[in-house]
Amino acid sequence: MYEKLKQILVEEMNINERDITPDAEFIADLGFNSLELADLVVICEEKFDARFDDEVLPTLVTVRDVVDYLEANA
Amino acid sequence: MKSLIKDKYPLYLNMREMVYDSAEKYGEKTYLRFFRPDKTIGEISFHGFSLLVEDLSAYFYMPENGCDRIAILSENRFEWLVTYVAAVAAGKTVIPLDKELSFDQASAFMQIAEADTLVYSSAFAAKIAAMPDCGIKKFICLDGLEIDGWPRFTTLRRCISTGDIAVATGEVDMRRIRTDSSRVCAIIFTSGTTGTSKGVMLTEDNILACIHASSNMVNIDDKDTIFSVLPYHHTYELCCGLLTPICIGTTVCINNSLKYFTKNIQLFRPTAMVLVPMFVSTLASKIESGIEKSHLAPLLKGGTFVSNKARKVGIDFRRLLYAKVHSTLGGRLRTIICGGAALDPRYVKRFEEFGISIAQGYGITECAPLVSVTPWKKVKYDSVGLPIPGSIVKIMGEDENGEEYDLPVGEIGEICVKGPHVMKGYYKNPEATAEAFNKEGFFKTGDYGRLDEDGYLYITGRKKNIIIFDNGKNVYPEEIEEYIYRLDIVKECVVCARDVNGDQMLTAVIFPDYEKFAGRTEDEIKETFKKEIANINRELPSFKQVHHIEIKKTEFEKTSTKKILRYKV
Repeated sequence: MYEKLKQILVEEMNINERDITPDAEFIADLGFNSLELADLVVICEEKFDARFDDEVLPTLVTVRDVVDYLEANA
Repeated sequence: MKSLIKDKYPLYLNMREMVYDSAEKYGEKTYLRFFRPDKTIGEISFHGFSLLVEDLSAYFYMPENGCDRIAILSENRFEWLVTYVAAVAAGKTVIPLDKELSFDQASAFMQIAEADTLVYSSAFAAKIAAMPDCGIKKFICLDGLEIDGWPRFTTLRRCISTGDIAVATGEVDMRRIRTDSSRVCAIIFTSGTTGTSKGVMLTEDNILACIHASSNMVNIDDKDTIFSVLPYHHTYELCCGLLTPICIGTTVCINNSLKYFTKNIQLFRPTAMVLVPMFVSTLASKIESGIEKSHLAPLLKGGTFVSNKARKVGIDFRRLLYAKVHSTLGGRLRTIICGGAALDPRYVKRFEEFGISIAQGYGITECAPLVSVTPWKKVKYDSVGLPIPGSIVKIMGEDENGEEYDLPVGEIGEICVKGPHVMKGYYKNPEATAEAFNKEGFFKTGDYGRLDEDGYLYITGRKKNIIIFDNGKNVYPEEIEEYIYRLDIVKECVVCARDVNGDQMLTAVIFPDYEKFAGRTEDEIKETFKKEIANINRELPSFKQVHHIEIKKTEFEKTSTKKILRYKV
């Protein structure tokens, strides 16, 4: 799951591969803003057939948070 | 100045008249586009909306239904709007609640406002079922099914069909009923805790005055499509983004979640949006980061320079130059109406370079909410526009004895307002009401600003945010923040006073644009800001200089309308 997410971050969100680690924070380390984080969530919903409720968004701080959520819900 | 404000749309005497008139003028043209539960897109015409409002207001109007004070607790959906307009049209009082409120707080507000009816969406059903008694006698679910054996629980569909029968049989004729437009038709709770929040009492006349101003001062009409993204309990979104379109025949597309903003803006292809400054800056940073990543930045920089020159001789190729930006925004966006807080003028300029005009306004819930709007015919980048028609804006100072006096053009003081849009007062709070008005009956906004020689208003800061140092010097944090926001390495920033080793020190709390610091350590980031702040300090008098910096790793906590919660900093 982590590798798939990493691929999305590189290919769809134009993030430099070397910046991506499980503990990288979307906002502090990868330079996302709230709209870009929302975009990533929508891409994940499509690619992994998962659903993220609006309340979940603020809890997605690091790459690992999204991986954990997808593993539990996809 | 009058010539800057068109007089195309009338000042309606009541909400019913506005809804019926728009149904007649715009008929089957689409008013609302929204997502159905199965994700297909539903549409309601101006005529269809008027029928729903007529039926539901007939239901609310019938005394046997016992709906006098109607609270609404729901996410953004078209039924929310039907309920609001129907309640006002029926001569009732509506209490729009922030869906982000804790449930205890929401029920406390309902109790304070003496709500007898709660209209809610099924997303809140479980919480409502567990709610302690707060005086609600009737529960109307916007999107749910009847609950057998619960006579107090009904659905919006049933209410509309009951009202429809009453209208069809002539039991209620909504076109003939009389309501008093100077009565309180809405109680809106300001942000704060249950103890500090105040219930703003607005009349139908207040709201109609703002609709009249917004329809005649902003360059939007029946050829436009608005994409609605802000919460509906927010008076600004309600007035400019939802009710004004009824008057001017604009189609409104309802976003179903912030998560789908990017996707839905391309689906609905709006020509206009109503946003708060925080949204504008987030959108700008997303656009700029897209430009950076596309490697077109140098080309666009040169192109913008040429485009700015070309516009002066009437040649406009901005939409061609920034075609990619426009395509991510749906391809047709040309106007953003921005209000709710002060917007950095550089965003107004930058969006204008893209070919999108930002019409700034200034408002406060107590003024239903518009105080001033920038007339599209004459924009001043750093101003929030002209006072709305029929109102008077004064800038007032206070002498050492607490006596108020009028300040001349150009001087900074408290913005005070009088006019048809100013609230009746705070609900069951005569002390707060008395404090809010001065001797001449002007409402004291609590914001500082100035007027220029053309009558344009400029906001300089919030009275309650003002920092008063021990030496008596006053600092408007917003003024210093404006300097700091000019640094493109800053995402968010708050200036406040901190106690540092026993000294009161002006402090900048900064959330950096971390994308600009890829691979840099925390110490390096702080060092960069120290140098930049030192440069800013050189432009400021000593009492306004920032001598302490804190770097944040996460965004600031915000209200549901995206304002930074300063007291939490």
